[in-house]
Amino acid sequence: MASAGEHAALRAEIEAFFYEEAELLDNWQLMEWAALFTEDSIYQAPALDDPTRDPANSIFLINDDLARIKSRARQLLGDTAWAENPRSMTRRLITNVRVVSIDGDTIRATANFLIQRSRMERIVTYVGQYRYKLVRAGASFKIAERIVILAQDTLRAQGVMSIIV
Amino acid sequence: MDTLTPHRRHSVDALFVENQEAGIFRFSPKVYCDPELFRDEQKRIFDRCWLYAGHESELAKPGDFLTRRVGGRPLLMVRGADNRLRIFHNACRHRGGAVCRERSGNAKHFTCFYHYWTYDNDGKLSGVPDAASYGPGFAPGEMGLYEVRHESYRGWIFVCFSRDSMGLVEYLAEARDLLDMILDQDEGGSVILPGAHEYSMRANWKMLMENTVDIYHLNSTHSRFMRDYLPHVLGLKTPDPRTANDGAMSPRGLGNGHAMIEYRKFSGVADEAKRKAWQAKFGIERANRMLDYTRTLVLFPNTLFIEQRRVIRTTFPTAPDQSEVTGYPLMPAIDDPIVRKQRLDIYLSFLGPAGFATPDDNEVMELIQKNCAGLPDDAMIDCSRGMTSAAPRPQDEAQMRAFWRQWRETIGAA
Repeated sequence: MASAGEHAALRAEIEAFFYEEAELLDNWQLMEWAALFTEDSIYQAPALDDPTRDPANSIFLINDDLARIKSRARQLLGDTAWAENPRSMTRRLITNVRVVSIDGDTIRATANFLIQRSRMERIVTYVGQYRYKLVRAGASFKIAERIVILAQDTLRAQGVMSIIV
Repeated sequence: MDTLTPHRRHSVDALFVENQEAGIFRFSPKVYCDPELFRDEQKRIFDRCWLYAGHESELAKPGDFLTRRVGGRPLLMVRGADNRLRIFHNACRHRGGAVCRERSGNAKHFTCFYHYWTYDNDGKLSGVPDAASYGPGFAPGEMGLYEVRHESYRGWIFVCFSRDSMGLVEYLAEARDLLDMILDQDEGGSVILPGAHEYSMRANWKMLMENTVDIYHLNSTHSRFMRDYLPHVLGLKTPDPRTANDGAMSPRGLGNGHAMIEYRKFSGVADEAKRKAWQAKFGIERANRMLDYTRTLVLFPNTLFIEQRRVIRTTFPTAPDQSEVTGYPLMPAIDDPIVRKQRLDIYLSFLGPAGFATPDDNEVMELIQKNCAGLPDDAMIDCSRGMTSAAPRPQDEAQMRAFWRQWRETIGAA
């Protein structure tokens, strides 16, 4: 069991990691972002009405393994991801960072996010919570799970979700 | 009263240029943006045609219910205690408030919270607080929820807001046989999986009906899917557009505006035991067609089924330039878990608000929409591909012309 002081230090460390990750995404450094993931990682966005379902028996919005995470990043950086060409301008506000559990080198943490996306005279927001499984990697972390729980009941207002949320 | 005059018919026909000999089929971009045509569509299409509303697998047990907006109308679909499926306007008979505000669930009763009027799950009014205050003419037995005409075809539930339109089977015309060919493959029946994608586009709904059966755009609009996802994630060769549709059936209309494209499966070979069994069951030619080909079906006006990706997709306009799109995954009820995972991957990689294709489709449709209202008055959208060909290919546009001819007929009819 970590002491209160160690816990606060870890929380600050994870918060800094999330800020760096958000900066990579906002700056469209997507290959650098994809390099944060472990070999067996997942990037998921479950259905909006119930985030607890099994992706083997329901449809998600995103259910990427590492190969797809990299493909998603490459596609968005290429010049034929028409929905993001020209690219969206985004800024991500990451808050409410909490360490949920520590098990050796594996840490589960959550954070809230608000992403504003602006493109072609239209502004949309995506709001929700990240649920991460991080593994300690030297002085930093690798992402083993990045689950995006959107706090929205539909995407009618946003149209689509063509950026990495 | 929506009266129709010869002048009206003429004005709808004037939106189109059709010359079979020259192989020209064009229409005015007004069909995508004109507010009067939009109002006509509500009355003449969405209030009269059969509209896909849901699937019986979503309402399997007595008391199971769904609320859903169909054709702009909030509906309550519920399987009653008597096991009968009914569809109601989700509106209390007292003042019109909603009697159910959950997306789905199981219930014996539905209550409008305005004054606590309560209805059984067969729609009968069963509770009115202080009922003694009503006079002798107030008959609770006649105050059940307003019912909506509906029919199912092999589990697909359709509604029709007109009492005098033809029945569903007649309406489906030749599309019924195609549905059979698709649904016969799910030998243990089909089931809608939860998690429907609910998104939107700032574009006219009809563009999606065209886009979904447009094979010509795959290589350009979906270049990133074809050139990155297919080779680098799936290890498949990017199809050569010059030969990708070799051996495909000709796209065609199926009557009443329904249409289809049918092409060879990109990958996967059916096992021989299954082929033999299906050949015995369905006949050799039909079984081979079921196994070796895949189909995308347009059900006029606003329903699509993409067999390869196992999606039932509907689009409903909320304005001429704004449409809601919903994609429901339809899977075989009995499925090998590995195959089920593949099916979900095929669905999700391409489709949905965060898929590798849907956002790019939205992008192009929204760009078209932005242009529509500002084009010259005599501007035309071209839809002529393959018109003079004896054997049109999926990358032609015969399937779209079938849709448009029905639209023209329905909007312009006396």
